[in-house]
Amino acid sequence: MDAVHNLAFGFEHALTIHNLLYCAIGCFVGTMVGLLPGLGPLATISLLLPLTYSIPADGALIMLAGIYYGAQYGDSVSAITMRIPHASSIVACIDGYEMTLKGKTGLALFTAGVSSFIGGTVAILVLSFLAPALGEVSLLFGPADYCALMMLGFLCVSFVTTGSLLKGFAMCLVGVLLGQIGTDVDTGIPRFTLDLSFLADGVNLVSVALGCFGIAEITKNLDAGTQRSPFNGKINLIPTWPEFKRIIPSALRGSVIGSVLGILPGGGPVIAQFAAYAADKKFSKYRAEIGEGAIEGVAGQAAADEAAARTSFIPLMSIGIPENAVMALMMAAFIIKGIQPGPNMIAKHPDLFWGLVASMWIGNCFLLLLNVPLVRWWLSLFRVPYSVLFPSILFFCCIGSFSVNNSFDDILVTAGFGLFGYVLMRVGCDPAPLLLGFVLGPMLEDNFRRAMTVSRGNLSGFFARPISATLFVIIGVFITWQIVRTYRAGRMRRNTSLTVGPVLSQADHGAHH
Amino acid sequence: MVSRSLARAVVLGIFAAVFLTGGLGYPIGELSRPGPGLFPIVVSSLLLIIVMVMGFEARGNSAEALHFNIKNIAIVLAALIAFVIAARSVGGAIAIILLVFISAIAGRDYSWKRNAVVVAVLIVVALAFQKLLGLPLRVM
Repeated sequence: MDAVHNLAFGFEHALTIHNLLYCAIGCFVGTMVGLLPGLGPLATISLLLPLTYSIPADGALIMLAGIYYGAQYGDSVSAITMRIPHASSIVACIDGYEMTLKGKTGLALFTAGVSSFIGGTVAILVLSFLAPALGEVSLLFGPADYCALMMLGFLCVSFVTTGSLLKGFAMCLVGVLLGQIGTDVDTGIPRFTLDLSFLADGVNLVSVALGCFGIAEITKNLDAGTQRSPFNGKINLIPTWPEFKRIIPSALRGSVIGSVLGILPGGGPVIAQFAAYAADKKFSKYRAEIGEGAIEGVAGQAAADEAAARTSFIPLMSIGIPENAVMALMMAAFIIKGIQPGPNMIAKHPDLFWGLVASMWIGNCFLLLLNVPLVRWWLSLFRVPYSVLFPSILFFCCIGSFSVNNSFDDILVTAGFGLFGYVLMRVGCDPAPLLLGFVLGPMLEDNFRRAMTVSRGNLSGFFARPISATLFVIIGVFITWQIVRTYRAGRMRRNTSLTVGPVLSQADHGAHH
Repeated sequence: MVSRSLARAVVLGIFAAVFLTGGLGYPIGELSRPGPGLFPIVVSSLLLIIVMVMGFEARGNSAEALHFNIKNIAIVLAALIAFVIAARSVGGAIAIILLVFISAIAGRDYSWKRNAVVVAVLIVVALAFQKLLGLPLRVM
């Protein structure tokens, strides 16, 4: 009954006029910006982060959460209507867009909205029961255990976001190194600052995020040079009863899958969507229709998406370790507001924690009541040509970077990261793991140094503790499995090239030497 | 033709090397009392090893070519730098004009009239930020 009591306490906080307003504004603005082509949740949150600076802590967090869900929903709308996918809505492109082609856009949008609501509700129940318990477990964690946990997080995120362990892990390390810029906390020695005074406090996260995601994305879209065709179809939102009945089982299945996968390190919306979609393809009564615009294909993934987006708050708020790039950004926002997420957060700021949990559900209601009916007006945003849009987005990137420290130097830093992010994108590296590495880097170093001091410089200290030893074993198994897989794939390629014929294999040899 | 995977290894390799040489310049300390240099050295060495594996894998794998279009990113960066210089010396309004008119070169079509409208709207937004949210950006 504790959870019920706590939730009631949370609603008391979330239901003040101010907080309701912040939640509504967050959902509204988040959806609007999330709808814009080329702006996923990461770019949206980093762009809108400065809006929250002048707001008190509880309101700011509630608004940020609202922005996040709004952006997520806006993404799936652009995926369903125009097949413009972002990281968070790849699966919605499949059946959602098929439904649009069949003239059922309204039904698809309604399904996505209702399923998100169901997914969110289930996830909030999970969150309110599990987060406090997990917070207690995390008190058992020492510095070595935190190091192991972060490394595991890096590996999982690398694997999930880029599909290539090596590439993703390299990006995590790049992020960790970028996090080294600034004054060393222990000794006060400035590191990698190039004697520039504005780098003494380090690079700020908003500059990294806006540069690597905002500016690099804009340039990528400019390079592509394609004009997005605006959506002009008719939207009929209200489904028939048989259609509505088809949503429920699939959405419930998606909610459970999403809730579980959201908690795991490296998990989160993307992997949850794919898992839910796969489950629907296997177990749904209408599995034959999936892939050709079935309601289930939209409902399951939307519910999983939303559920995972919420339960991925659990590791952040109970252990203090973000498990994906979006949560890393959220963590930075928490810290800007003077709140250190971690095991003590629930005890120290119960009003913030439970208020945030309750406001998540309120945000869900807003999404359902505001966004679903209003969606047709928002789609008209796409009629604004990109030539008008992108100078404005650039301007907001400037304002966003400037407002962190009220310093023009930060805009230059953002521009520098824009170039860096663009180069990374062109050489085929996804900058999302970089962001996680950047946020966790200082924490990793701190815990690494502490662990070394505790074990008196003995590296075996990492394997002496049960938690860290277990985590390192998992890491080892994971890496071995990857190496074996790569080796096998390489051998298979070589075998096929041999059977294809001597000409090809000779060409292959030529390239080798 | 430059292979994309080779370019990746080179870019990351340079990055790791810069941080490794930087890290070697700071006191390393000992394992039981790590100094400020130890951690960056460990991480950048790890990155270098990964880059070497990447380079090894990239050998003979030249299927994907590197596409790099310097024009658009250069225009965008020039617009941002012009914005900073102008905002520092003359004020936000001129900075917004420069930002919009320079960056628009990267768009598909260039229209003075449309740019003027965008500038006007953005100046209003900037004023709103300054007056309502207390952002210390001098607009005029």
